[in-house]
Amino acid sequence: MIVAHLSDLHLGHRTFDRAERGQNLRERDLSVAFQRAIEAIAKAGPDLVVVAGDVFDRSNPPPGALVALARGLDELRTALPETRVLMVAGARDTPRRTEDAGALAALDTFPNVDAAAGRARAVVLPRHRTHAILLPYRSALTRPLPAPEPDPRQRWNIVVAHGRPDDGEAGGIPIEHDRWDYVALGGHHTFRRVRDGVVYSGAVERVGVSPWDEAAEEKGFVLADLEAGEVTFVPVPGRPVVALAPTHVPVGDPAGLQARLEEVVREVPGGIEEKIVRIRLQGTHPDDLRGLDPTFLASLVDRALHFSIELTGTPVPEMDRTPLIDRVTTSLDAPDDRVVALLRRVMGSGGGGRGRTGARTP
Amino acid sequence: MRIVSVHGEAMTGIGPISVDLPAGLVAVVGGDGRLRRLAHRMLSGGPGVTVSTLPRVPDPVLSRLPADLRASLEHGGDLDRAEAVVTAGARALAMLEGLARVEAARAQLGRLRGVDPDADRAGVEPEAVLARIRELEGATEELDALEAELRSLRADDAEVSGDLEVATMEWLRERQDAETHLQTFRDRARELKSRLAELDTEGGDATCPTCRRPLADHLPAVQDLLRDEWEDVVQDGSWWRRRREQLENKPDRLRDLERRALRMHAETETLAERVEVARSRVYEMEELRGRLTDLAGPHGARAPRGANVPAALDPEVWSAADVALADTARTMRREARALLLDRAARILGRMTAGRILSISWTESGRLELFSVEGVLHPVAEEDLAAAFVAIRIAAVRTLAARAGTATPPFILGEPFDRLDEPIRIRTVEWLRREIGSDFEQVLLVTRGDIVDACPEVFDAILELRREGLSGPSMFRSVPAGPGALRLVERS
Repeated sequence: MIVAHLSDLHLGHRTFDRAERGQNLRERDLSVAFQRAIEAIAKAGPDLVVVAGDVFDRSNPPPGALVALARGLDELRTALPETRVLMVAGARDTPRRTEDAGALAALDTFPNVDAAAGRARAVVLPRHRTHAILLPYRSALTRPLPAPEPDPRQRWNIVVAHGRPDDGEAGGIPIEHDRWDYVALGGHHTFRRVRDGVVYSGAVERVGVSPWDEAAEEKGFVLADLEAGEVTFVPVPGRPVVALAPTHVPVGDPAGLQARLEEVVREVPGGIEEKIVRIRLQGTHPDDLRGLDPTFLASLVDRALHFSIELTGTPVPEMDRTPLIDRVTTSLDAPDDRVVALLRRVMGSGGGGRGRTGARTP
Repeated sequence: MRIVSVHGEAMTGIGPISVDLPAGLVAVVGGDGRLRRLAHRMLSGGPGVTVSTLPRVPDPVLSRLPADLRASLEHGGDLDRAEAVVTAGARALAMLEGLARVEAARAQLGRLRGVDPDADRAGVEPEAVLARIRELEGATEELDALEAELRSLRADDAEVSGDLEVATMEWLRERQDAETHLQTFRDRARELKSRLAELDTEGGDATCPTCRRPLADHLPAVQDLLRDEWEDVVQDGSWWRRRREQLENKPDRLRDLERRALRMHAETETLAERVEVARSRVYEMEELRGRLTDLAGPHGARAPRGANVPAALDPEVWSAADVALADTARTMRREARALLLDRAARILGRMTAGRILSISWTESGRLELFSVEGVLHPVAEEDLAAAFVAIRIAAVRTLAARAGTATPPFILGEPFDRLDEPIRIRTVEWLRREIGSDFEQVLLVTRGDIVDACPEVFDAILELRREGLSGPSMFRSVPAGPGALRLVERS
């Protein structure tokens, strides 16, 4: 029994404001990644495909996302007519209003597809002697919580769920994981084995708000061989994301900053063209960026799909602990004892400290 | 610190209402814009509302800041423009450094200068302090009125600046258009003239530019055609030349607008100064009230007030002291503003995925945003809204960091819903990361789109609903969070 497990497709995810022929490039990237995953699954020929939520990026997805999903499911059905697809709605597929089932519910009508959007659902696949429990996002939030039980009459028992596992005593759908042959999870964008047979497949592309945090991770789906107890991660190529090493440039040196930026960008293997690039500048003041050559900045923006500059590593400076009277007297053009005495007089005894609104004294 | 519950006996527009608030990122959604504004006001502790916090004792450092200033930054109710947030935030930061004391000293300096120096030598009489307090009575109302006037003037100023920008762009575009047309006609006229000269020289041997055959008998017809066209081109070109000359100088309407904008800038600056003076009077009054308590002391004794002042001071001494205090106050405000904008730019950079890089303050008291595409001019409404949100977050965090205390509960309402959707999502996801490490509680009063877009980010969602048209309002908890699963071993 081979299960193809994927999740967090986030079809319709739009970001970075770059479009080609009217379509947001990241939205297209995600459709392409899904398409690649479908092709790879069709080649692998699993007995069952499970999608553990966040199929769409929002509960009212754009038409392009629906088309991409419908096309993928259609190709899967053509290539593997006997393979069932079990889906659960994730947080992103679930509308706030409980009376609204969301777009994913419509896929329940597709041949060979079971899409659970609201309540938990049990599905039995007699051909494979398999029992699956589908736990969509909403089922983990509404009380009473479902209490999934394996079916001892079936050879294989599978859970497909969207949520975050918690070992504590706090509430949450209880899953006795050692009674299930495979627990397919969604809601975490990186492939991760939580326990034996409890697996997050991760997303098929880098969909987080900060894709650079996932730059070093591969994205893809999982093929789980239940008979052999093996879980294989199958990577799916996506758009390159480059998180450049943090760079330190002294404050007030725009020329040095530009030279360093040029150097760092030059060293990116294969260049920054069409990539999603971030550079972190440590200690740089935001105003130093104004000293960069505008054409240089524009070229970076044009070459990359997205070029992000992030300023880090400068904590909020400590408060000036100089006694207030000293701060005032140092601003005098010409120190004069009479002026200092007068200032001391009006600032109260000694003029030290910070007055009634002052912060902690050292 | 966090708000644990809010209870309103009979809030206008909402009625009696009560709500418990958890820690973390909490969305307050639903209702129409008016109901959301009322909810925002209620969470901010408006009239007739009891807000319970944990811990119950307010932070000793931040609570020394004027309550209205803190409320403006932490709740954001009456701050309607990003510039106003910068001013309030910078003022609060500078006050942590002792700005109020410098302002009070300056006010006292002015007062002392007007009284008998002998009286100064003897110290400050409680009667004199009382008299001064009486003089300053009404300063708070004056400040409120002036601030309201300043807000209105700034709104007018923004409108005129917008009109000026549109008119300037229109003039430049028309002038460029005239210039382009003129050049085109001139080029065409030169080309035709040169072609006619060639035809005159070469006669019937001249070739047709299309088929490359000699023109022979067609020469006169082609010459007539080209001459007609040349005349048309010259005539049209003359019209565009006159048009360009007309547009050489700025049109009267544009000049009027420029004059109005300059006048309004000047009026705004003057009024801003008056607001500052009124604010100093309010602080002086607060200071004097405190001093009166000091003077009375536990036994009614007068407290010594530092070194005596010589009887007859040179006017230059008074002036130098005043300049030093004014310079210090200005420097404090400027440094606080620079720090605030530095921190805000970093947050804005994250909100916009590195698109907007820095925020600066122009001499005319406006914000300027610098992006990877250069200075944003004109600034999009959404970018200004993003700057507004970033500056408020930066102000509250920086104040807490500087005071060495925990960040107070932060209430965010408008203009959050006006941000671009990707920026909205990045902002809440960023706030989500900051919960625990920095913020303990963020209350987001929103239309609800963001909750639909990423419900898993929120720790709690409270939906405000009204029963019927005039019925009572109530908060309803809507399921939120990532969706918990509990992995357990077989029992």
